[in-house]
Amino acid sequence: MSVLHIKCGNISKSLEITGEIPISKFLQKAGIPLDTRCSGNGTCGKCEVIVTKGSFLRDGKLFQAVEEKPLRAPSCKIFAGGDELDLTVPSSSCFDTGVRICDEFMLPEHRFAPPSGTTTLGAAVDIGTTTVAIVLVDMKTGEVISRASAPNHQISVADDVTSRISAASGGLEMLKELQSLIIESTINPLLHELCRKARRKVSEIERMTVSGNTVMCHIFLGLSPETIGVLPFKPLMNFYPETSAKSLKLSMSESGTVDTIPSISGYLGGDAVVGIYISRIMKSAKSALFIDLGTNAETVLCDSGKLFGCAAAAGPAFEGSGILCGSRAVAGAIERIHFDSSLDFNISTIENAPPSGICGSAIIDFLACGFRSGLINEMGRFNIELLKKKNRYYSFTTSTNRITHSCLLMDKKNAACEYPLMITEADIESALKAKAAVYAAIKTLLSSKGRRMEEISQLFLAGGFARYINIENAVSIGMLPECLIEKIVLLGNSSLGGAYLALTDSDARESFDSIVGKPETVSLNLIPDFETNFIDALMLPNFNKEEFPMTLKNLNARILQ
Amino acid sequence: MSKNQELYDGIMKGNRNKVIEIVQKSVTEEVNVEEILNDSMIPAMREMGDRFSRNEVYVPEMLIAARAMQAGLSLIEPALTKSGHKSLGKVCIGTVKGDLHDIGKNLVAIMLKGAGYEVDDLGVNCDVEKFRASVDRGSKVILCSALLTTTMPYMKDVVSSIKGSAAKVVIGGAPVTQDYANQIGADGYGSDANDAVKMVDSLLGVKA
Ligand code: B12
Ligand code: FES
Repeated sequence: MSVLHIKCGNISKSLEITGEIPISKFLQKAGIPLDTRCSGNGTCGKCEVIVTKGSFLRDGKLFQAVEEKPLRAPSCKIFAGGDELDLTVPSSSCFDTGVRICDEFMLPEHRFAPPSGTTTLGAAVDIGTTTVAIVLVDMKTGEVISRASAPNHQISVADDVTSRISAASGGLEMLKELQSLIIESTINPLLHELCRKARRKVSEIERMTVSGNTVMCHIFLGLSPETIGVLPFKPLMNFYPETSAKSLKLSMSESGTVDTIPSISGYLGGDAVVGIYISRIMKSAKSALFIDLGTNAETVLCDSGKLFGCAAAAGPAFEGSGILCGSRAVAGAIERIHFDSSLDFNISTIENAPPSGICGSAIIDFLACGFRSGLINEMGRFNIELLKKKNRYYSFTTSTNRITHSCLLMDKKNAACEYPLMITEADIESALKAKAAVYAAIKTLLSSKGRRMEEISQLFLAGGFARYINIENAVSIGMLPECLIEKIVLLGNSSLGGAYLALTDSDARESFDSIVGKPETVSLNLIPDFETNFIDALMLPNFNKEEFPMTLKNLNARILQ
Repeated sequence: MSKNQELYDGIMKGNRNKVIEIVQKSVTEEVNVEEILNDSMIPAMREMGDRFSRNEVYVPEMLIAARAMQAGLSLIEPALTKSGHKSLGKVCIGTVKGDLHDIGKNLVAIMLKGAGYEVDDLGVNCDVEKFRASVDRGSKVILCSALLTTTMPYMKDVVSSIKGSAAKVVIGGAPVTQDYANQIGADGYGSDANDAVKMVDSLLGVKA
């Protein structure tokens, strides 16, 4: 037994700990919103703490920190090594509770005819892997009376869906913990906030409808998502039973009920079901495409009334993960960058707060402007001469003794963090992989059905990320097809929109059930073209230049000037 | 024969069509393909690998070059087998059970071939039996690739089933770390395709 003294912002806590479990687990137990993006793999470095006193073990070696010489270490890789351990958790190691969350949605024509008999209050919930958004609805009129959102507190345990599955597969206790993190730590506080804002009582909430990906819905209902993590990725169930609010410990009326929107498959959840409905792709005369532009990039093609779905697995690069100065969309994150070959960066941050990191939309801008201005070549490499000439060059040696070239966006003086803000070539590589996955999925899905991109009549993009990016830049880096730029429709948070419809429109709710069995799942890995398309799409904008005529024409025009 | 600069550049730049054209011509003209391989193709891939480990080249360029290399290799492979080409040793590679991500694995396989190894490519979704059967066929090193945190634990099963035989296990893939390799008792770990070759070199006592 040893004693751990924790300081985090204005919180200080002490607790008894043992030496067998990594420190990060105790921090989480103590309620610290520790960011463990790689689930304690020791690779993301997000969970770093500053040990100010005491000894600890790391890789079997004993380290001793004294006040004059504090030591930094990833908390998931260190263990208590003595009687006492004092440490500080810097704010950069806590997941930010101020993430910008999109709670707007676009709805097709609908009517107010709730499937449940409730006339008091209803709550429509979108459970995302990273964020949760809820609207409180007056069930007499169907009017949204308040909105609230928060990060999904499960992030403290694991960052992405797959890691969440791994965590939930660690036994019933872990599953229960994850369920309590979503219900008791995330949804319940939001329900209270919603009611406070609307001057109503949580006990008036009689009905809740939930939309989310398959894994999130499983964990919410206490079902194990384990089978979704392994071949053939089958969920325990596609249709979820109606559940009582009481059994889920939700802050609602004692007699309240919960309706969860069904899932198509392990990687196409209720959020895809409602996306298909809201985008009306099945009604389009020709072919139409729906993409939820997130980490899994669920993509659905409707071709002559038939549905085909796949997940592109883009990864979390655009959420700032695996990017040196990457950040989620929190206040202070750089969200827009504009520049030309003078490399005078025109930067704007979320809420105009002092810059503290770079979020996904800015990374897209950076690639687009960088490519246009000749700072980045088609392979994603920097023009180092240009960087040096403009005093923007920065390099450092990684732990594996490699030199990493970077572009300095802002020095330490001007940034609101302890390091200069920069983008490295490795960051560019991560972003290229993510954008290539999206483009390759679109192209492969279409060609597997004998369709060309030009034949698509509309491209619907769902999700907050799509809402905030510069679409033109997303096209010019080769993430989205150039020929579809005029045909893009932004849906906002369609998952939340779907939950709202499930609450208020019985026809829509019935349609959701009938959509579930329709899409045929396309396994991208079985189509050899995917690898070729992915490799082609790793280049800026693409190895096949003819797919981006306008982008390259503008580029050449600039060079000739 | 000395280095065919055009072929060498074709691989470095990932010009698949050029590579196919030159290699095809040599095959039809019955030029000694082993010389093309040893004097132009392998040096090009080695150079790419070295640049990669100096961070002068990143994954996109590597994959594009590897794709051109592979196109050339598949043309000369039949002729090589016929001529009884001697390799540095036989190794096998596959993605572990449940994992279908093979782009990284394919890159590692090409780099190994490029370095002169005979590679028994077991494909995706390989269970313990598949790896063991390859050891019975003479593979000295087993290379396991995993891209999912949910499939990574299967590497432990591979390691324990191979214990006691002379074969070595090297693991890799995006979520895999040196720490993890130590934890499950794997003989080696590689962070990227070039690292994989170096690891195999050192396990088999081959000097690069
Ligand atoms: C392409 C891709 C796919 C393709 C795969 C096609 C194919 N034929 O491989 C498709 C679309 C089919 C796919 C499917 C899935 N994917 Co996927 N995919 C990716 C993606 C975009 C790129 C992976 C890649 O090819 N990288 C390029 C190669 C060159 O890199 P690499 O594999 O890491 O290899 C390098 C090193 O690791 C090393 N290496 C590799 N193997 C070995 C072996 C040895 C011995 C050594 C020494 C070294 C070594 O050398 C290589 C070169 O340097 C990543 C996200 C991303 N942005 O990275 C997700 C990603 C890996 N997928 C993910 C997921 C979840 C899935 C799915 C389960 C669900 C889904 N969303 O579709 C399915 C499952 C399929 C399955 N059973 O395997 C997740 C994994 C998350 C996690 N924590 O585990 C990722 C990270 C994306 C995400 N959503 O976050 N995917
Ligand atoms: S290093 Fe990623 S959680 Fe600790």
